[in-house]
Amino acid sequence: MSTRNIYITEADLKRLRPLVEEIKNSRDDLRMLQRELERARIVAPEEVPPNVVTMNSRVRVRDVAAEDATTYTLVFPEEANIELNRISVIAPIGTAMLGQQVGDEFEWQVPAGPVRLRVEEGLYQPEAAGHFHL
Amino acid sequence: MRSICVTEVDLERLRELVLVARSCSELDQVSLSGLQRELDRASIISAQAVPSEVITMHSHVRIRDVETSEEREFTLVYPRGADLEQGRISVMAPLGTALLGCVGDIIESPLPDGSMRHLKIIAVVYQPEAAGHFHL
Repeated sequence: MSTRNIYITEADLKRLRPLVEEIKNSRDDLRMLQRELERARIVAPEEVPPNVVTMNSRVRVRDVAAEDATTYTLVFPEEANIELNRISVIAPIGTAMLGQQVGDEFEWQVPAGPVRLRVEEGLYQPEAAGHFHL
Repeated sequence: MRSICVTEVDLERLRELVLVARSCSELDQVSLSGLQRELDRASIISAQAVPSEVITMHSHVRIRDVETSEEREFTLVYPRGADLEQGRISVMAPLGTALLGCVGDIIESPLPDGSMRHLKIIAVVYQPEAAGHFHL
């Protein structure tokens, strides 16, 4: 790469910097998911306990400190929709939720520090409902 | 840390997801460090003050391959707008990163085989700032 001076406008820089950050963050998220998959206990869909958070499961999750609960569906990235609380498994909270059981507490890393969450209730699990195609 | 539980079927799809996403992000990683280096060493100027021969985002340029004399035109765009067939090259691609901020010189752009291609910037055909298009 050339060492000559180059020029960038402030306006372009303001858009290019977040772009670089965004890609870096998604790389970290991916690494986290991979680590979870490596340490997971693997079971057949027919044998998974009905209280485990599997893909496409819907669960109510409680913020232990704030005492407010939210219902989430854990989905693949292309189906994610934050407004409908459809959380991608690559998002940090999605990765943290994967494979937990009702009653488990887990940590969600946010920029302000870790938030402690508890899986309060399993509302739907495809395997328990016999929906093995999902 | 307690063990989590994942079904075989979910694991298979999730592994595939990680593989696809990783192969994309490994490509990104190479160009990411290149782009970041360029951003760090660039002289930053206001959009109103940028000389009209500087390649800014959305600029349209004509370049000539020094070795083959082949000429091509490119528009430098953000990754979402990239379309190589239409000459819309992403700022994340090695050539896009190399073009950003340059002023009518010869630039080096690596080819996939690792060799370097030398490209002469012949003209900035269109620069948004020079055209008064500050909204782009």
